[in-house]
Amino acid sequence: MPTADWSMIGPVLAVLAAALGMVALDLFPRRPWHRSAVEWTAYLGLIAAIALLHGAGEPRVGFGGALIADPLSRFMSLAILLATALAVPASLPAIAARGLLMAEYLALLLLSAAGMMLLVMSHDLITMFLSVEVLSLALYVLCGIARKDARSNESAMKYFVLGAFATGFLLYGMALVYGAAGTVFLSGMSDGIGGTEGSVLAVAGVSLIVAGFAFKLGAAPFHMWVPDVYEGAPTPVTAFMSVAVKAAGLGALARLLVGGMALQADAWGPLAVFLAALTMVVGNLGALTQASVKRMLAYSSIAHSGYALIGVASAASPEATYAVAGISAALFYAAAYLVMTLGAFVFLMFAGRPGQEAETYDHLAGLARRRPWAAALMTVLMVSLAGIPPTAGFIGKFVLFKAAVEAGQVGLAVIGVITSAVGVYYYLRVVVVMYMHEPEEVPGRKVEPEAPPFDPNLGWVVAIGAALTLLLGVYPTIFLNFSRAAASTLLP
Amino acid sequence: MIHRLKGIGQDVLSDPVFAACAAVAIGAALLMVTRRNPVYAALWLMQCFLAVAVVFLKLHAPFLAAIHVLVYTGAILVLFLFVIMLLSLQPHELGAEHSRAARALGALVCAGFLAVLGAAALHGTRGAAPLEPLRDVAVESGSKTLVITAEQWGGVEHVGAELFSRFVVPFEVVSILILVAILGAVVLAKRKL
Repeated sequence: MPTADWSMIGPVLAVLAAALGMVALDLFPRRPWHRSAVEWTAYLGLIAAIALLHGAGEPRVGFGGALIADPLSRFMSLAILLATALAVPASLPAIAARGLLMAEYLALLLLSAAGMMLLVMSHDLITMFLSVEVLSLALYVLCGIARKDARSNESAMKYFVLGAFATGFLLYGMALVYGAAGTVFLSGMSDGIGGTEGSVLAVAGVSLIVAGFAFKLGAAPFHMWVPDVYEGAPTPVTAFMSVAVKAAGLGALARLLVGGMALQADAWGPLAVFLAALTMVVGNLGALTQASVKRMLAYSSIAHSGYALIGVASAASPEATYAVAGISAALFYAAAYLVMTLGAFVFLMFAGRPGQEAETYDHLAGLARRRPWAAALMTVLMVSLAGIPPTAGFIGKFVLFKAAVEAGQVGLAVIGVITSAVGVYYYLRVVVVMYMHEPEEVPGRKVEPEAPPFDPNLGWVVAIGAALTLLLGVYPTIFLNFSRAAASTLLP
Repeated sequence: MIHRLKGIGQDVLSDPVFAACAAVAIGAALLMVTRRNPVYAALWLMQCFLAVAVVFLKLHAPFLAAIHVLVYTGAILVLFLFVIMLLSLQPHELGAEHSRAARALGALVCAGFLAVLGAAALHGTRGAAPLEPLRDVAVESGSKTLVITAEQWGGVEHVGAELFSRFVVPFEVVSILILVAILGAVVLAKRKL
């Protein structure tokens, strides 16, 4: 029996306990305090999990080599828990307005977060695969949780069918890598394969694994599902999954490729370069032509996966310092992307009328006059997504492009800069519409001269997103040190 | 156990029973994906599963072979057939064929991947550890150490001991996965809540 190092999985256990607690609370007869009890169980679990994440210390492998607790797992777990903690209050208005099942909704959200935390801690292929399934299965259900909404059903169905297909890629790839390495554990995997020459099996395996993760990250050419799924899912679910899955998937991909298959970098390096370049171009060009802001943000999330993959591509460099810089930049970018995109999706609910989210650009016309604060917060988020200083998006892109140039991936940096310039157009279009367009007169719909009522919970979430975006942009040093520590302990 | 499998893999390639079962499995899988009628496809899938179960036997995994027949052939496939028959799709409901270009592209990708796998089959075992006979292994479980003899290899006791010692985390994660699946099924499918 491997020694059980409970402190390693404390955060996961706290989140799981909260999820089970919420479902158990639902069994009791309804009382007036029922809803707040469920809500506070979620917060309590998340706060306990963040508290249990403490402690720097050396990387520890536990549970017979299945799990690892290191700076990378802590950095990503913190990002995932932050996204979950913001997604819970952002979900409450939608749950109330659309009559969703509150306890089940929040329990699935937390179970998905637990799967993500296990994913970034996974140190063997089996645990990694199962964690991907836990987080995906919970998200398939969350996408379709608005059962009476045809778009939500369509979203869940598409995500499920294509997700199952991607699971096949991932699992087959893992089977081939196991066949080539003779072990499922990441320690010793690279040596087990022993370089790429003569091991076609390992090359085929790692290609399939990268394809499987590319699907989860929404990277082109595996991005087809993203716009439809993100558009149809309830907006708080979209906000959560667009950021948390990417953080978790990127963490696991970095651990697997850089930590587990460092000797095979000449096999997965070119793949990462190809995916990053294609994803940046496809995401940005797709976002240009969208009429719906939600779809635009979906394409934008594809584009940002491409930027984060620049870091993974740079990490294929044989120089350890460049590899660390690449992964560190990708991790920092994932954190920056998390705060700005989560805020932007929640803004769509915040900017709408009760019961109707802002969807098209027209809905946002003249918003600055009706809701100056909301428009100001969204402006910060859009400026950051476009990569303009002094925001997180700028610092994130700067460190990424710098890492790419140092690692010799000048082409990727050039594509990144050009596509970012394209991105400025559609991100700032939101700002222009909010500040300079007049709301259109639509027959049968009066234009309210005054601000309509809104949910303060949503306002707080957007404000926290915008504040963190500025914080990461103005004081990036602590976070960059954290991500560098996470990346440097990753290398074997 | 893991290191030895590589050696066993090498040995199995020269085994006529394995060769026959592999041929049946591949043939059945090809027939399965090319059938238009989903019931026939499901039946070919069953044939494929049975052939794979024999391959598990040849790989010294008798427990896995039995479970494979019971769970996949017995439970999951019957469920497939029930669902297909309940839906009773008509040919026109199955959707249009893909365009010629899409099919050509698909065939090209498949052929490329087959070539890679073929090359892997030819080269993959090069440099693999030489075949060793099955030996007794000791599985530590708590304070006790369980000795698995060559006859017990891959049996219930062996699988159980590994599952609850070295692979206890994946085992527990599966329980979370099943919990999510149950919760999700109730949330999505229950008519009235």
